[in-house]
Amino acid sequence: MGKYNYSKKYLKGLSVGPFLKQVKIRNEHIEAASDELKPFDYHSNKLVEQLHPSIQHCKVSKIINRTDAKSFVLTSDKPLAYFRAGQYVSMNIKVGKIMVSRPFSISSSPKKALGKNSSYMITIKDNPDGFSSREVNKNWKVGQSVDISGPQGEFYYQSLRDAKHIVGVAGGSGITPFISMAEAIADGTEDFSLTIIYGAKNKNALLFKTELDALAKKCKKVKVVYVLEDKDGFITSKIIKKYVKGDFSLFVCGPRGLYKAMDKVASELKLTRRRFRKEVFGEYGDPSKDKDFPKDLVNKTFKLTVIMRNKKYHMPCHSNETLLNAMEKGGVHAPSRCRSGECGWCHSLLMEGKIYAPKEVDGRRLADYTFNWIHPCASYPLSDIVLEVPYNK
Amino acid sequence: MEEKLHYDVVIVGAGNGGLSAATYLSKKGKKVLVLEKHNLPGGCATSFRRGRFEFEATLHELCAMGEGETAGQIRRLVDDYGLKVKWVPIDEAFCSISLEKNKGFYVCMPVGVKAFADEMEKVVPGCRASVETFLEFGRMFSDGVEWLAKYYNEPAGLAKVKMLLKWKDLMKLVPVDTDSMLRKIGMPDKAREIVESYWDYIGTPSDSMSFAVYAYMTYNYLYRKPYICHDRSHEISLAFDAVIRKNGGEIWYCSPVKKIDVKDNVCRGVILEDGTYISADYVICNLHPDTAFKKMIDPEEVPVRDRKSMNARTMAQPCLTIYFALDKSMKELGLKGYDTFLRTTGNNRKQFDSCNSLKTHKENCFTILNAVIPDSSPKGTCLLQFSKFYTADVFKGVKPEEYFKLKDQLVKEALDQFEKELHVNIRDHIEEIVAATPVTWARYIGSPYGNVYGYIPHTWDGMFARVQSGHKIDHTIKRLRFVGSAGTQMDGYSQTYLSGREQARYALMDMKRGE
Repeated sequence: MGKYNYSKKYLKGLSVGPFLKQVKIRNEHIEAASDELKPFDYHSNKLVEQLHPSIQHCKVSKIINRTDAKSFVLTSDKPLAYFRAGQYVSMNIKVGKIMVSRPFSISSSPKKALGKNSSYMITIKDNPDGFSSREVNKNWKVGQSVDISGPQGEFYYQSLRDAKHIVGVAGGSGITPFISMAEAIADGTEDFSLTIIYGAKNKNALLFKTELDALAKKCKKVKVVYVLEDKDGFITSKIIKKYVKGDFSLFVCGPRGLYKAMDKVASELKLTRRRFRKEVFGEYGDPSKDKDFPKDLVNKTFKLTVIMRNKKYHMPCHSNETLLNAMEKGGVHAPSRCRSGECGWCHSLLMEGKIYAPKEVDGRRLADYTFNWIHPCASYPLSDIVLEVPYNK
Repeated sequence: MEEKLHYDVVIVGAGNGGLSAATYLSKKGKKVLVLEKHNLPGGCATSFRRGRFEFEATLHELCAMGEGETAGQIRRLVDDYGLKVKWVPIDEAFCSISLEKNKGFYVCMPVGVKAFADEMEKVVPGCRASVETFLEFGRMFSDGVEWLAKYYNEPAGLAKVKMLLKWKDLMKLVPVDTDSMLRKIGMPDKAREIVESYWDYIGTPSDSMSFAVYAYMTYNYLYRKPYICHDRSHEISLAFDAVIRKNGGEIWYCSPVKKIDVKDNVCRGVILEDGTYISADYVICNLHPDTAFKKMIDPEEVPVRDRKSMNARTMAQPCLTIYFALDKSMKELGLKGYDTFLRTTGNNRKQFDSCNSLKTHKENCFTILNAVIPDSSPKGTCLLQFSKFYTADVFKGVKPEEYFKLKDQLVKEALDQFEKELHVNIRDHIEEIVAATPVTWARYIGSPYGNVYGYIPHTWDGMFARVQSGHKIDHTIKRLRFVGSAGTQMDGYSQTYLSGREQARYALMDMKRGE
């Protein structure tokens, strides 16, 4: 066969015999092995169960009353998943007949998740208008059963990426991940310096003040600065400069307004993007004031059809409310985690209709646009909608 | 009463093999249901967002693509399926670095058969003849494999006679290992080490890897070019999802299967984790057989052949992938090349033998997406990825509270080596950093210790022997077939797409015969 330019001498001594015998040889190898059915017993898969459980069945074992807030200590029959200080869990909350999920930062140290007395602390601010927080803070008692996700989120210190000094700017209940970080530093789990700059309306609105003062006293690496609106005004670059020198990473957690203020601060401080990290802040809220929101569609009601597996559900939805909220109110507990457009857990197929996704919280992947996939937690209807969502019990 | 759920075919797992099988069968008019435990299709073929970046999870390059006159069997497959994907050819083969004292090299090899041979001659003067011979063998294997594909790898009767006459050189060289054949054709050691750089993609060192398989793959990359898609592999997976739906199929996400219902050696359906029973005429399983047989099928229904097979075969590799988004461009950082193998030695047997523990494994591969798709990240930034494969459950003994620190340590080691050997500064430019360990892969795809490559293709368990066993011999439970990296075609995107189509076709034949 002259078609290929190689010398036949390289094939000398070779025959097609071994090729034709391959299957036989393979069968002999298999036949010679033991027929024992060994267990599926691999360490990495066990670590998956320990570190990334999809659901953790907990009970409220202790409630701590604070000014305008409550802390809930959650425990379970088996150890809760270890986590990185700063991470959150998504908690299922039943309000009347409606089941919703809400993200809450874990405010205790990862170390407390270890061992026999494994626990997480979740802190929820009183919010009379908050659909789910009102329910929890008013009605939950010790012994309440609660299902939470495994630890989630990217808001934690990463030694290779971040400066060794973290400036944690917190607003309101945004203090919770920093409590976890400060405790983790104090108990030796983490090794970095943390300066918490905590903004609140007034002294009474500060959560965890006693704990923070104690942590700062106990641990040299933790510093706390309180910035009270009624006394000091808002957190500015001037205040940060006053307390912080040298290279640092700015971590921000709090209400949406704080992020806007910190964007300005970051640019005044000439921080590069890698030195500026924001925790997801939850619901984006009413988008109708956004510049690119179609003005003629403000506050409109549309029909929403939800397909989950082989079932269809019908409900109304409103252009000023996310599709995720509309589904939950309509009795469909669609999957969600961050509720901020970031994590992609609610990734769903938009079969029909048009949505508005605020740029700031549009965490979709490129191909999602091509194939019409959306994040219902950060999508607002601009027409009647048909949406296929992943299954959730 | 709950309505009874029944589908012609249920596909367990929306990985590459499962998606391919579902596409094939739905196109043939079967009512298919794909069940996926995660909320996204693709398994390893996916992407993820961090900040202003979208990272590719796993795709390095597709093999056997090409277009127009260079079109290979994978191009035909994706075109037949009607996948709407923006494919992008890669205009380089690979860069390869060996840090071995006195014998080291740093080469960047072009695509194109002639260009590759020219560059090899430049790098190792005098090797041209051997490289050309190697690539001619590769061309012959490539033609042979394409010929076999026309007969669906099962030439029978007259075709079998034809095969024995026409492709006997191919058959002679399948059982020969790559290493000894390259020596036999007189390839100098350094040239051989460079040519063998791709060995990681096959997952077994060159002294136990079929020469035909390796030369076929290398030739295909050089002649047809390696390919990726523009919008990360999530684009391919969503394109599959869209085609399956268009063909009338369904896909249920967040719907893990708990049990594959097998009774008296016949598969009858599946039970979901929430208790839902779905009956099916046929089940295609895109899980590692180890997962399916040990966790999802009644022990008394696990055939002796499969018990023995699991014990006889060697579990293939789990991987560690590390992703960086850097706040400077490739040029500013002094980086070059799309796909670079960074190894402490040119001897891949030594490389392979070091892969069984976290401590000893110092070999790496790094990929820079911007080299092929400049706008894959915002202007003035780039995406750098490291990957390496282990050969054991290397996180054995690690406690949950040690895990994150260990993960950071592994990232640091890889970064230290990279900066030192390439004389670049990365750590001052890291905007995002993500590491996916074997534990991460085990989490998302459920395989034994994050195995992504199926079984190691030892000489006795190579591709050709598997392909010849894939229709009948390894089909042990009626109405149940396996696809994916543990299948006949071995690992990788192209191969798992092929495995999905191959087994789906057999399933269709079984169904037609009423089996």
